[in-house]
Parts: sequence; structure tokens; C-alpha cells
Amino acid sequence: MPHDYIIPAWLDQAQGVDYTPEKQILTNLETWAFEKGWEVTNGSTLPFDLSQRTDVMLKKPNSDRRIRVAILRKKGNRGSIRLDTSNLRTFELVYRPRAKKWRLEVSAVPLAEDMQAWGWDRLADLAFKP
Amino acid sequence: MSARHNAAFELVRLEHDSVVSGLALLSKSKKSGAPGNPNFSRDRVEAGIASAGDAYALLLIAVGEGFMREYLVLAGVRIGEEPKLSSLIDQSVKQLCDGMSKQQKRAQRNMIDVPAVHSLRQNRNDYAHGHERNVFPSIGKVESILGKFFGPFP
Repeated sequence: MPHDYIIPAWLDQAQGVDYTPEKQILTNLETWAFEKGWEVTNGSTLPFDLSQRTDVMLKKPNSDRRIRVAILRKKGNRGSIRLDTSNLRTFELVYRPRAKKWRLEVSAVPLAEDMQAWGWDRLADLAFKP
Repeated sequence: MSARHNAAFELVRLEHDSVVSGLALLSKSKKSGAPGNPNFSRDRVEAGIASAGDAYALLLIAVGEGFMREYLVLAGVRIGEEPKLSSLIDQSVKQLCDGMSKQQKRAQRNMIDVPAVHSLRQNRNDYAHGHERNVFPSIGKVESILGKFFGPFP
């Protein structure tokens, strides 16, 4: 069954800045989320302050688990994405243009050099580990 | 790494972490309702934590701005009364690299990651001017960017 991917419209409105890597990693994350049964929305149901800081929201049905995804504005080619979980943990994806890979970091400490190879399952496990 | 600068940034980050820990405890304590505050909700606490992140990111950038101003004044560079952060960054880097060869300058600029600091400045400006949407990097990341930048400064 086809899914409705959430790709924020502002990514295509930024003049002179290419957000293709962000769109690719978002699509990859959302594909994983759909496969694992997470709900994928634009976060518009969140309180105003949180929805302003959210581009995509992943929510596990019948659970408190939620991941807010926010793409940071950029000028050059070095993108960043914040992942804030409902249990108040923050992860960051940092794009490495030469390697064309996303590095996973926590407080600037690298956890994985290639997020896609490392896997979203492992991130979800780590994020919601008690 | 400059211990003096790092210590100042760390102090701000530790305060942020303490505030967030306190708010996090609050958010876990009750699903809804709190004594004396019928509008209490966990989502609002989460929003509060995000706002605290913004506030401390702005504070870290302001502390960094103060260091740049101090450095330039001590170096005898005329900066005017209200210099823009963009020119403080560029003048500080120019002063730091003064007397270096082209190669050394390039290596120094790469090491301290000047574009990352300009990116923080852009974040700050967008936030201050009320742009519809703005997200800062995490406090740990902001601290790391500024710590890296100030590494070679006295």
C-alpha cells in the first residue's frame, strides 16, 4: 500500500540551497517508520511551540513513544537534522558531503558514521532504552 | 582547546542540563494537572524544555560574542560601539591568522570551522527577528562548535 511521505514544503522554497540529502534521509526514515507501523505526520497536532520545531513526527500507536524530526536551515552543503524523542533525548544527524553520508551524534559525540548503514532500529532501541 | 573559553561554555551547558533535568522530572511526575496550575501538561513541559534549549543556545552565542569583543579590543582592533556579530567573527579570525601564510590560514580556518559559527549566527538572527520557524542545534553541539572555534584563541 503506498504511503504519504511527509516532505516539508519549505525545503523546496529555499533559494540556492539544495536539500536533496535531507529529503533522501527523511524518505529513508519514513519508509522504515511505515514498515514498523509508526504513524507519520507533520506534527500539526502538537502544541504550537512544539509543532513550530517539528517537520515530521513519528508516533508509535498505543504508546507514548514519539520522535520529532526537525531539519535545520543551512547555507552551504552541511546539513543537520535534530531528532527529539518523547522521553527527552536528542540525537543529531550531520551530513558529510564528501562521503555523502549522515553521521549520528549525541551532544556532538559521534555514534555512527553512516546512519543508514547503522540502522533506524538500533536508533529506536537506543532512544527508548530505559 | 582553550580551557578558559571551554570552562565558560561548560558552565552554561551544565546550567542548561540541570534545568532540563528538573523539567524532565516534572514531566514524568504527572500526566496532567499540577497543584495550583490547572493548565499543566506534559507537552507544555516538553515545549518548555525546547524553549530552554533555545535560551541557552542564545546565551552561549552571547558569551562567545563577548569573548570575540574582548579579544579584538585587547589586540587593539577598532570595532566600534555595536559591531555586528558577523564582523566580530570575521575580524577575530583575520586577527588570529595575522602573519600566517595562505596555507596556514586555510588550515586554521578549517580547524576552527568558521562556517559553523556563522551558521549559529544565522540561527540567532532568524530567532531574534521572529522568523516563523527556527531550530538550534542541541546545546552540546553549540558548545562544541564554539569550543572548537575558540580553541586557538588566547
